[in-house]
Amino acid sequence: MKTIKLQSSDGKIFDCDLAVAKCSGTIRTMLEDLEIDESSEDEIIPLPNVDGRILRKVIEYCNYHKDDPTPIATDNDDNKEKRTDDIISWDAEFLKVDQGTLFEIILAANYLDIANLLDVSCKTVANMLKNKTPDEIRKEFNIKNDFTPMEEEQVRRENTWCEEK
Amino acid sequence: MDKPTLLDLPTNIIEEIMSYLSYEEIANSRIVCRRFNKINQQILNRGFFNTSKGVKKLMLKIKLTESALDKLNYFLAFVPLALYHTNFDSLYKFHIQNGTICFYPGKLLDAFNRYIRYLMAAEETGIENYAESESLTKLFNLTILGLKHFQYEILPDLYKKKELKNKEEKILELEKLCEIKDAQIKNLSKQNEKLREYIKKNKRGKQESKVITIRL
Repeated sequence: MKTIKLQSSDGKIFDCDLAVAKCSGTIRTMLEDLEIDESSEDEIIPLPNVDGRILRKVIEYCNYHKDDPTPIATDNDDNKEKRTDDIISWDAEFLKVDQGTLFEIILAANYLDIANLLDVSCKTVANMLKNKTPDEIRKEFNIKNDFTPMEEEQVRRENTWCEEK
Repeated sequence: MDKPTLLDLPTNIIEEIMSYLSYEEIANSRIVCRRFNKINQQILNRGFFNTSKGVKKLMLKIKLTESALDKLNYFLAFVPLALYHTNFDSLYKFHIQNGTICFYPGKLLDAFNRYIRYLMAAEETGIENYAESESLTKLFNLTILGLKHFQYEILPDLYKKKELKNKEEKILELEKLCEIKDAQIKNLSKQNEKLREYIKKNKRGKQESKVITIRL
C-alpha cells in the first residue's frame, strides 16, 4: 500500500498509509492540490501546526478509524439533544491523556479537519464540564474568575430565575 | 511551548464543546469567567432563535397533516407551546436584537426543545393526549417562572440601563451644544478682533485726516 511522509512542526517524519492520511480533510486537499496520488514518488507533507508527539497520536487514531464509514451529514436539527455518552471504549482509552494534550489533540483535529476525532475529543471535554458547579469548573480547568464583583452579582441575578421559590 | 488550556481554544471549538451541554448548564456556567459568559450568551440567543424555528416547523407540519382528527390532536398540543413561546418572543426578542440582554432562562430552552422534539416525533409514536403530557406541564411551570423572572429581575435592570443610556445621551447632547457654543464664541471673538482692528485703523485714519486738516 502506498505510504506518504508527514513532517511535524519539530521536524519529525512519520510514514503513514495514504488511506490513513486521507482521514484528514486538510491533507486530502493538500494531496489534491499537489496532485499526489498512488503513483507519485515519496513526497513529504509538512504540517507546521502539529508537533510530533501529537501527530503520532493523531495517526494512531486515524489508523484505528480508517475503515469507519464517513459520517453522513445529519440534517441540521437545531432542537436536537446531542449525546455525550456514546464514546466507544477505544476512543475513551485513547483520550485518557492530560488536559494539555487533550487540547492539543483538539487543535490538531481542528487544523487537520478530522471530524470524528474533533467530535469525540470535544465530547470528552464536555463530559468534564458536565454536572459541575462554576467553582468546580474553574478548578478543573484552572480558570480565573475575572469578573468584577458587580458584574458577578449581575450575572448571578440574571440566573436566579430557575430557583423554584 | 506551554501546553494549551481550555481558554486557549478558539471560540468556535469552545462553542462546539458547549453544544454538548444542556442550555441550563450553558446558562449556569456563564459565571465561570468573562469569556464563558460572552460565548454562552451567544449560544443562548442562538438557542432561542432555534426554538422559534422549531415552532414554525411544527406549524408547517400540522398544516401538512392529512387526517382531520390527527390535525386536531396535533393542534391542541401545539397551541400551548405557541402561546408560551410568543410570550418570550415579545419580551426578549427586541432586547436581544438590541444587544442589551441575552436569553437568560436556559432551562426554559431545554423544556421548549424537549416539547418540540416530542411533537416532531409524534407521527411515529401516534398522536394522542399530548395536551396532557408531562413535558407540557413542566413547560407551563417553567413559563410562569420565566415570566416572573423577567418581570422582577430583568425588567428593573432594563429600566436602569435605559435611564443610564438616556442620561448618557443627554450628556452627549449637552457636550455637543457646548462645542457649538465654543465655536460660536471663537467666531464672535474673531469678528470682535476684526472689528477692533477696523476701528483702530479707522481711528488712525481719522487722526491722520485731522492732522491733514490742521495742516491745511
